[in-house]
Amino acid sequence: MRSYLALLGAGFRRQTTYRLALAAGLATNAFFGVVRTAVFFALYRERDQVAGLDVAGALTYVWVLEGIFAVVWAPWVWEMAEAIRSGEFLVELLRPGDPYLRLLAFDLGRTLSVLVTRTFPTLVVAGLVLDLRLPSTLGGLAWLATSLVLAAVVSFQFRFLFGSAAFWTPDYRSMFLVVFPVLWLASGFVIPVGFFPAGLRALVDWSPLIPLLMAPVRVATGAPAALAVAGQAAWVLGLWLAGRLVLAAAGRRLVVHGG
Amino acid sequence: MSPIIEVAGLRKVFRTRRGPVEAVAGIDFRVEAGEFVGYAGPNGAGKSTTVKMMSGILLPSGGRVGVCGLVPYRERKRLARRMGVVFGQRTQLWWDLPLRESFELVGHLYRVPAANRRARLRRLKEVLALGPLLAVPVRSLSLGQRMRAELAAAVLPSPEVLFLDEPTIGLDVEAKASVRDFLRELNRAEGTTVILTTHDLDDITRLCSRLMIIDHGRLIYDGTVERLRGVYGTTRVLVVDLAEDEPVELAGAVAVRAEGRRRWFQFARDEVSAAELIARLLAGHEVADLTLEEPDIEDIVRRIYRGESPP
Amino acid sequence: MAERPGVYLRLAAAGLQAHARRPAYLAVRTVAAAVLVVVEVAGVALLLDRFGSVGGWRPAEVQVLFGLAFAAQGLALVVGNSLESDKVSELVRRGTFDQVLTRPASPLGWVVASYVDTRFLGRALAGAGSVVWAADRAGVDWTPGRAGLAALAVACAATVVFGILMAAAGATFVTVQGSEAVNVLVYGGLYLSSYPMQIYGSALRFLFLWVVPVGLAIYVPALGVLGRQGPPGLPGWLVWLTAPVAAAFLAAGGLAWRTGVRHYVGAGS
Repeated sequence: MRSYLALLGAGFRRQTTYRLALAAGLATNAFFGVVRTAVFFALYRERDQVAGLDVAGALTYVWVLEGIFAVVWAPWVWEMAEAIRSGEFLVELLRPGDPYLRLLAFDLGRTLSVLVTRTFPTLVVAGLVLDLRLPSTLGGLAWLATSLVLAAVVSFQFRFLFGSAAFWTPDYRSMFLVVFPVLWLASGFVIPVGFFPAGLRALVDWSPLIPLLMAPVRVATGAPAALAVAGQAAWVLGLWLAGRLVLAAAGRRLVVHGG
Repeated sequence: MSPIIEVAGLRKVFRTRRGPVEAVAGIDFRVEAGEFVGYAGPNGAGKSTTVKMMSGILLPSGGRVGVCGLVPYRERKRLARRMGVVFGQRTQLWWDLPLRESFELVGHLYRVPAANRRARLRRLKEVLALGPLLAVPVRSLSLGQRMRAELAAAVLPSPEVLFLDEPTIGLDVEAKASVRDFLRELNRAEGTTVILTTHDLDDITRLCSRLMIIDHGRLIYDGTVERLRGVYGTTRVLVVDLAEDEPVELAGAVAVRAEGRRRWFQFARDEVSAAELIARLLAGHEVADLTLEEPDIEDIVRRIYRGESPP
Repeated sequence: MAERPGVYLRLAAAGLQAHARRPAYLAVRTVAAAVLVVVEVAGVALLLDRFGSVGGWRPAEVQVLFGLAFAAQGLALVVGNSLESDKVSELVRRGTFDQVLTRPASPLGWVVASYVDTRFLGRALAGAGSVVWAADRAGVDWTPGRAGLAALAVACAATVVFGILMAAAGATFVTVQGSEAVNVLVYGGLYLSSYPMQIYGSALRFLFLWVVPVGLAIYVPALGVLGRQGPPGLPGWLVWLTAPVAAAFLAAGGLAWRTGVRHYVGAGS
């Protein structure tokens, strides 16, 4: 147990050293956030509410998106895949303990660092400048924090699954690129899922992509938090099972084919 | 006739986080057309910095440098047409394409008329045994094959000056021999001036008429290889771990150092063979272990730098 | 550049040949890039259809802007992707740029030609297709003049983006580290230009109309294509300035590149 916590700390510390990247990242988030905000302001000039979302809700969506962007689309996404192709990953599988938990611990350390250094400041500053719908009670904030952390876990699980394609093919990136447009849209990064036509929305609401962005947005804007977080937790479990299956299959493959 | 390379008071100071670092601290030399010059020195001595300044990819901090009558950093492209460069570790060829296409590209790039290119390539192909390799993508070539290809590509445009950076590193004995033969012949038949940067003493002794040694940014030796060989390079050292701490006299060798049961014996390569010496030693003493040390460039350099008198 | 342009074309051809040896890989990437454009444009359609209009512009008109921006992005990246900060940073760190400098060719030409990547054509074509589709929805009557304006918008915006990439590459020679800030100017600027400029505050408008004129390049010709009057601050004759302003920006980018290379040669690696 202690080793997992140590990995968490190591990941956290490692990520905080990228100060220049952090500054550049914050600038990027700020810029895109400002542009999207201007767009929504213009959209809501004539209307108060569309599809159950008012301007405050829309802006909250924008800034949660910007805040959590670097957690979901982490820049280190292909590190594991590269380690698999180079053979270094074999070491990871041979160590005692649970490789999945180890990878999760280190990754979570890094994403926690991003949450603290990027997500939190982004939301605070945006919340001060604009009229956002963020929780104002301690309980509400706790739910939001939990939701963000679970989003970070789910993002790791996705990265793990996509990266593990490297066990089977050197073209793991191409496979990802093929599905990426769907992921991008269905997770709500193009437009809020609430604006999808009814049929599409119903379909998308059941996807494991919701925990990445829409769940924290819903928790922030006042939807029933326990329900949203429970949904995230359910997907954490489901994706964990998928991850275990993949690891088992990968292990078998390595035994048969060598590193 | 003016020398093809002229360097006077050349200096280079790098601005690093730890303050200014003088990589090259004022060197002077002249190279006449057709010379085969070895350029040696320990790592970090300033070899590649000098070569970069000569090829125009680095701006000197002071002094003058002229190659083929041009100022390298000011007339980089014009000079690039008249010189060839081969980096031992890195490739100038196109990785994914068949070798033949790399040669075509080089031909176009250096404006070698197609007929000349074909004729030259035919000759190079023969001399370097590249025939079966022309259709092979460069990434599939072995190190030895690739080095031969690099050389062919570098000399295809018939450059006046050829800069080589560790061309024989990592090659097996046979490959080294063929590369050396090629370079020797190139220099002899076409009068190409060659500057060979290397750590390999054999490269130098077999190829170079002249050797420059650089250390800590200064030229500490500039003369013929003969002189160097005669003075410093002909000795080897036999390191012996005796079974018992006893005095040892070894005919044909000089005891240069002793620490407890370990003895260092220096002997001249062409006066007595190692086997003979070892036989003599074993005849009279019990030996726990022994090794032979060859002088390498670093050794020689250290000794020259320390102003050691020749043995 | 005293070299014949033919040399660079051959270099590009060589690079493309290497790519073409894995046609499936190339096809997948090209198609994926195109699909992403379609998704973004469709997303905008979904959003705007809910709201009816933004800044007085109908959804189809906004989609025309999106299409123009993507077409420009794809076009610029076909040649400019080699100048992305990460790639340049790698060239510097690995010492590969030294080898580029030993060649009798312009380093910019060499780097660009060596990394021409046709998969960005997927993006460009999808963008162009979106323009045609959206213009149809918006009821645009395609005259040669309007088609010319659309082409002008794409060409000028692509020029500006290439200028940004050159400048960023030049900066990377000095800082050695890659820079995410470039992404803000390139992708952020194009994203911003995908919506009608009048919805933004004066600071953003000024920045992307006159300083990094990707907004100017897309918005002003688009007004002509859509048969719209610009806001009072942007008279119609401004469209004649689009090309010169883009060219001036490109020249500035080239200057930044040359300065960066000079610094590299002075400082070594």
